[in-house]
Amino acid sequence: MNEFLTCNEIKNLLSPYFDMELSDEETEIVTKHIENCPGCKQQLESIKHLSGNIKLSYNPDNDRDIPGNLSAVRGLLPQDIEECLTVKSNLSAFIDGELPGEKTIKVLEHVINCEFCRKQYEKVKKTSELTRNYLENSVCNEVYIARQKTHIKVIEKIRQINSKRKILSSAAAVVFVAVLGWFSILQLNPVKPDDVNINETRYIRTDRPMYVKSEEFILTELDSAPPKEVVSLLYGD
Amino acid sequence: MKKKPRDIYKNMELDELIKKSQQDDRLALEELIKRNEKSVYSTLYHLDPNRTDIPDIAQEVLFRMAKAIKNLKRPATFKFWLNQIITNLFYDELRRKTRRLNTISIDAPFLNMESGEAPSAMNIADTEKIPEERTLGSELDKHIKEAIENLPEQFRIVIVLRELQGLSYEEIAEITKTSMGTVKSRLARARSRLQEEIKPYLNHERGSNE
Repeated sequence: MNEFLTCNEIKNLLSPYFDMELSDEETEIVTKHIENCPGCKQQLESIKHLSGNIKLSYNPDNDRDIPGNLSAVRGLLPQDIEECLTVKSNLSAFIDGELPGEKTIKVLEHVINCEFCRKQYEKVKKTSELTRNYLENSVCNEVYIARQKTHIKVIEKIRQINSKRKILSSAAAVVFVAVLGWFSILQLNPVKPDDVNINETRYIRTDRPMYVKSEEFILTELDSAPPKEVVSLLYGD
Repeated sequence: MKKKPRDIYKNMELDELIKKSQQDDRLALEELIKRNEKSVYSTLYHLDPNRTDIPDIAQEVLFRMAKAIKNLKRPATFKFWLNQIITNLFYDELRRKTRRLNTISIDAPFLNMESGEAPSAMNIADTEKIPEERTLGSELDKHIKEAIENLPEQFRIVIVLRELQGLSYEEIAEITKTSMGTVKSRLARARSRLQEEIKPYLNHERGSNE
């Protein structure tokens, strides 16, 4: 809806505005206009005055003679349009228990005293209940879910990921051990003569002929590594 | 598979179930997933009833919940935490692609060369996959369903999070990354619109109560 309405257009909306029958958007537009337009404000006052008179003289038997849609005809009159508009905007939060303490009390007091707003409150409450009932009880076709078995698929996916993780960490462990082993073998292999301690004696397995390291085999004096068979005899493998 | 331990989990309090899940108790995690499957599915459906891939999104939500369960510091906030996952994924899916019941565009290329699948506009709705509604016995329910579907998305989101999930305004504000004032006004306007739409059928149902 266009925000900017002419006074003629606003005047046509004043009656439903007074009855609080306009949408939130329309209500906002009219409220803003009236704040700045004395002419339309005056018109609204006339409607208030008129409906007040009608209510005083209201006789249910004669209602077919009363024109228009003034809610006064139905015996429902907003107590005070400004206050009722404020209460109306808070009804939803009031029902949800989400208003701060003082506001809750104000709305409660007003609703108790204003039949019009009480009706509004009942409508909002009803809408909320119907919506909740529908949302909670609809869909989730049990048969559909049973067919899909979402939870089984989720659990299966988690298992797959966990087993992949286990495989990866096992593989990583194997690689780690292999690398460690490779380095250990490198350390055991006497490739560098300088590393040997000449005072070190080694004990050789008794199922082989015993050999004692002699001066000849002091590796530091050698220019090159001793033959393999000598090494194996020395170090017992 | 022993039957007895599973029964224990079925009767376990939510707090304890969460704690056990965080301690790598597999059966506890399975039970947690089972308990929340329907709620996740239902929420996603009502957030956007025309999607055809709701089971896939629901599966992803539950999977993320299971993966991230150890990050939940206070089990008391579980419902709020789970709804954050649901809504975030819902927003993500909205941004990426909409698998809705669209009309086919003449201009859209037939095949997406990267993914090798037809673009969403070309997807013909598989009516078998669309979840069926039960309990729409009353005419009023059908009108309520339609009224909710007709709500602008932001209104529908707050209605679902409040009426279906029962979250507080503060929680809804945090999940939707807005303020409490915005949540309050969106809820009020959403209910106002719903009321307008179902009013004629309400009077009909209630008869002389009005």
